[in-house]
Amino acid sequence: MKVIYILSILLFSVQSFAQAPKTKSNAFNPDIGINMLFLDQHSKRDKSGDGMKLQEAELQFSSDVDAYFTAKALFSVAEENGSYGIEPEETYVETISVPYVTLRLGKSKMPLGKHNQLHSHAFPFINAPLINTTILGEEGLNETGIGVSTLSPLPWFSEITLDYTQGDNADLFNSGKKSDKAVIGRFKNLWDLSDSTTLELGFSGAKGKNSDHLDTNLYGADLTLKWRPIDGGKYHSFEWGNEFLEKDRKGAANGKLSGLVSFLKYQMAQRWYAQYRYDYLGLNKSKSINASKRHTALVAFVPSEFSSVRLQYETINDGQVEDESRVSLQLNISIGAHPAHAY
Amino acid sequence: MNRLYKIYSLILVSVFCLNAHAKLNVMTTTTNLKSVVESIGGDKVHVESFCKGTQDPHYIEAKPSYTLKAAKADLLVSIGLDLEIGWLPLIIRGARNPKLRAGNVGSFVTGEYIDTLEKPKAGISRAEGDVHPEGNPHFMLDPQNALVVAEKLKEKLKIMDPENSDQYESNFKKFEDQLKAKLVNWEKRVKAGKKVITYHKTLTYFYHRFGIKNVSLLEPKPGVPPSASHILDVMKNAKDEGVKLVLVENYFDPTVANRVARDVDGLKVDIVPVSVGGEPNITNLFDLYERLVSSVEER
Repeated sequence: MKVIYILSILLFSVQSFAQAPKTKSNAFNPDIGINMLFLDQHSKRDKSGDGMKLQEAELQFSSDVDAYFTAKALFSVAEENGSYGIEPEETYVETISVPYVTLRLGKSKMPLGKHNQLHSHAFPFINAPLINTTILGEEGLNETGIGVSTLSPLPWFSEITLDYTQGDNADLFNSGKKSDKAVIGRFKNLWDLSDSTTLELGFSGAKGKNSDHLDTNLYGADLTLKWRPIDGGKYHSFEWGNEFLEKDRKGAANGKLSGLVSFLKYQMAQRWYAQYRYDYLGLNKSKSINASKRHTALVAFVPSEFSSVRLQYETINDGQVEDESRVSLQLNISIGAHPAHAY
Repeated sequence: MNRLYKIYSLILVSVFCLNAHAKLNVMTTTTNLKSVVESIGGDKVHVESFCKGTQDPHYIEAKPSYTLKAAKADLLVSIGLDLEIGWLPLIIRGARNPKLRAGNVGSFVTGEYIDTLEKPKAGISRAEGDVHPEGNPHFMLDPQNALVVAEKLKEKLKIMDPENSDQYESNFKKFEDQLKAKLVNWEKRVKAGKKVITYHKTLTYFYHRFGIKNVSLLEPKPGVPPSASHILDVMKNAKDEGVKLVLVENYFDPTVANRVARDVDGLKVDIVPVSVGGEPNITNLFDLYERLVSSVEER
């Protein structure tokens, strides 16, 4: 009922700016793209994920629906517990004819920090930060609902996004009562420090009811510095990214957990990158959970925008007798239409 | 939750304000297009370019600050032909300014009016490198194409801002006369059949207009950096054909070109701008064409 209310406000307020072009019949086919991630992994301690495998394949379809909406569907194919499955990672529509705001309806990655919104093929490293996998889950925070985003009236780039969702995340929300919803929000700011340098500062939060019928609150902050010179920008650049995430899940014994990640990505030459990442999980001194620290180093060869080969080494100190260490080699390719990645 | 819906609807319904503005706010994707808009629009338009004169327009990043500029634009002038496909759609989406979407009133895709060169034959694939399915997008480097774009732009501005139609007409006439006169001079100075080597296929249209023969490309395929064996092939070609000039577009690394020139007698390297603003004293298209002509003319 409430969704119909929103939609009718939308449609009655919209002016159509479209002029229809003349095209052939199959010109309306969606843009199709496929990403494939192949992995060869060797671990010291936990060898269950080792060996050569298809890490993930992503099938992306996108197209304008009509004068009012554009649609995107991304299906992820991956192995879980010995068998392959295909899951809708993101399936949503966005408004295109409403000025000033974007409404997004469907299932999508939530705007909680920066990394949570990335698809696997766009991860800066072969795996996700510890704060993301531990606090939000292996699939990240992915919910179904309605989101609205708009540029704020501030004189710099400042975007506010608010999502009203069903709250299905198994650990964080999922209270069992369908009337319990989860709300997620992000306030993203970006400044051009110069023609070659940008600074992004974001604040995120989420709130919903968990299976103990109590509140789960999430707080996040992110800071990113990027540099690419105007002259010779093809050959050198760097990115320094930082994220902080805290969960406060009431009702669970170790419901309070927080951590951070900081990484540096340096472009050494047109097709070569050197990267380092530091993860820390367990900023709240918990007596029963050990803090985890991870160092990751990565070298990437990127022959074109559509392929890359990455070699990664990580060591994890999680308070166990033996530290975990892992070497991974990944081939990351894409074919077909490939929408640009967000900045 | 009810209050949230009321706030949502209030925002949606109240944002539709028509703003009266003195100048048309125009954004272009390249500085070459910006130069045309400046010439035809004059003081009736405010124009900025996303891409700078030293940047390769294929690969710039869709910075959110560009989104802010697009949000305020009345008109977006782009090349099309998939040149900006890696970043422009993101900017338009983030701007939430539906006028600017392709096919709508605020979108002017100049490539649609041009007879492109180097249209690939059937069965195009990325194995051939970074190829454009609809032809080479660097058409602004032929002064005649700049004239075509200027005329279509004049018509577009007249529709968007009919009050200033006369001004746009007279600006166009001035631009046309100036360009035609300079073209006569440029054509006299460039020797048809002159042989050159270039890094990337950016200058195809310039060569086509002035009858210059591009003997070799330093890139084995578009977007692929030169390999050792390919460089040897290029050197051999340069010697066999008696090439005296290597042109490297200013967003590429000239190291390879310099290496080739060291090994071939009489071969000179010139790092050339291919966009307005690519060098400090290139302030408009006439300056740019003049710079390219003086690079290839025999002196």
